[in-house]
Amino acid sequence: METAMTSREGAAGGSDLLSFGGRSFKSRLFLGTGKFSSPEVLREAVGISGSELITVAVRRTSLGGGDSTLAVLRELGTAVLPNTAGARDAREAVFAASLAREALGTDLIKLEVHPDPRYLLPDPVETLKAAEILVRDGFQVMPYCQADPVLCRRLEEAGCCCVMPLAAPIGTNRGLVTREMIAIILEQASVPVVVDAGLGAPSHAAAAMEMGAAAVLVNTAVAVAGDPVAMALAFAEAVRAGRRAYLAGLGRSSTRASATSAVENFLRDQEAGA
Amino acid sequence: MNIILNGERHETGSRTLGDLLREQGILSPDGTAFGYAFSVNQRLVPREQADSFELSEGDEVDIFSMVAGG
Repeated sequence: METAMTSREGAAGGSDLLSFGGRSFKSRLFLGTGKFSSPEVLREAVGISGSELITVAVRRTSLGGGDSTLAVLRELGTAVLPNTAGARDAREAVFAASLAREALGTDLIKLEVHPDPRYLLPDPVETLKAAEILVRDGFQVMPYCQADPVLCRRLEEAGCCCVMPLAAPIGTNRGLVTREMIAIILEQASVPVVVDAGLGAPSHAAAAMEMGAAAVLVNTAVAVAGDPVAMALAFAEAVRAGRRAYLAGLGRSSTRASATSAVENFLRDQEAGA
Repeated sequence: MNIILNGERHETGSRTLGDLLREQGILSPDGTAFGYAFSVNQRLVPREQADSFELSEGDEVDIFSMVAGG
């Protein structure tokens, strides 16, 4: 039994690497580092999740008192994914990406351009413009974007190494609000689709993975949970389960019942015997 | 000389960006600055150019680092 399980793990899990941007990942859960109550909680949550790609933001440093996020991630040995959050247009995003590459020596960049602080929705025009510039400049661009199948195609054509459509606005924990559009994006994309933003529960992440998402990125739902460490593990398990279900092939859904037990035959046999 | 450092007026004896970074304790003992990036007047200055980058009166110097974020 143990052997059979192990071989199934190998077929559907262990060797199921996600590759893009010149890197490979065993874990399909990416985590953000915002809103954690302490560096210790962040360290434990990232550690237990098994996540190998963790986001950070670029800011003017506060002189005399640093942020320990990067030190925590270096200690854990995870890959760091800088983002351009805070950029209001393509020019600012390109500048932030250049700073991140200089600071970390990585060509991976999570491109975020959201000028509106109320909903933090990404500006599709400026995002595409920045993506084109950054790809030309040698970046591996991971654009956070609207769940717009046409935009995702354009970003892919621009040379982005994946697309990151939103499930719901950042930090809302509302789940796969854009489910129908994500389904079209998944059908069309030939780069990995990483569902980002708004996933509020492990079941949301599992659902995205069952649909065929390559990975999910979660931050708020873990960081603000009653027990962020336990929630990080719950998300990791949900992502693994969702991925496995996708690989296994979900059964068709139907509006009509389809018996799983031969109930009618059993009753007839009873009558015949009486 | 007076410069603007991270948005605030700052008086410094440093003649180069590299000296300013040393003054601010940004550089590691080996002279590297992993996790940091620098700009002068909104233009990125790579770490390897900081020691030869001469500062001028009124320059706007910004030091960037990584913070928590999604």
